[in-house]
Amino acid sequence: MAGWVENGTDRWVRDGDDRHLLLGKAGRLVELHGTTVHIYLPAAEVEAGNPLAGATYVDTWERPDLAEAATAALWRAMSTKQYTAALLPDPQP
Amino acid sequence: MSAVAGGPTYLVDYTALATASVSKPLVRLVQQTAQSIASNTDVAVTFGASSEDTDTNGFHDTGTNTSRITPTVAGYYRLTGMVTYAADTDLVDYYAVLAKNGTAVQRARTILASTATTSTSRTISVTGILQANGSTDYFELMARQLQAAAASLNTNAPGTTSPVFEAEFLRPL
Repeated sequence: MAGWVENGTDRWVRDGDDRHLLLGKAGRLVELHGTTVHIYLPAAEVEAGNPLAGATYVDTWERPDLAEAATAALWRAMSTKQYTAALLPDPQP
Repeated sequence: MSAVAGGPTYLVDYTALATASVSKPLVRLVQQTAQSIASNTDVAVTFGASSEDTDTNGFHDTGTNTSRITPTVAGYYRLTGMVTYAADTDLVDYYAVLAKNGTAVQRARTILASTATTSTSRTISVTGILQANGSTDYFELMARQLQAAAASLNTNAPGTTSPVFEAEFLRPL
C-alpha cells in the first residue's frame, strides 16, 4: 500500500519518491508532485500517517522551473509565502 | 435563401442541409502530458500542445483555457470523457465528470471495496448530452480521486489510455 513517510517535523515523503513531498506550514499543507504544487487546508486533526485525510483543497500552481531542482531546493520552494500565506483569505473570525 | 413550404428549392438549401448533416462540428482531444490530480477535489483535465486529434470548428485552444471546449455553434452536443489514473495500489474512489461553465453536471464514479494489492492503472468514462448557446457556454472533463492514504495522483498519459474528451454536435437548439 502506498503512503506517506514522515521526514522530519511536518514533512512527509510519498513512497520514497523525492519528488512527491508534503510540507505542513502556517496552517497549510503544501504538496509537491513532480512540478505541480497543490495547496490544502488541513483537517482539524492531522494524522501523521495520512496527513491529507480530510484536507480541503485550495489551489494548484505549476512550477516547471523545479523540474531539475535538488530535493533541498524543493523543500525551500514549498516553504515560500506564495504558498503558505499569500493565496489564502484571512481566517474567518 | 431558405426553402419555404410550397416554394422553390435552391442549391444553397442543399448546401446548408449537407453542411448540417455531414459537416457537423466535432472535437476529439487526447491528453499528451500527465497531469497531477489533487486529492479529493474536482480538477479540470487539461489538453495542451498536440492534444487536438480533431477540432473541426476551432472549439478548443491548446494554449489558453486548455481544459475547455467552447462551441461556437449553438446546439445539443454529445460529450464523452475518459479519465485514466496512473498505476497505483491505493486508489479507493475515482470519477470522470462532465462540467458546464465550471459546474459539474454529470458524474461517473467507482468506489473500490478495498485497496488493490497490485499496482494498476484505472479507467472511468462518462457521457451525456448537453446544450451550448454557441457563444459563452463551455464544457470540461473533470477528474477526481481519493486514495486510502490521500495524495495527488497523475493521469495516465501519454499513450493509448490517455484521457480523452470528445464533443459531437447532434442538432440545433
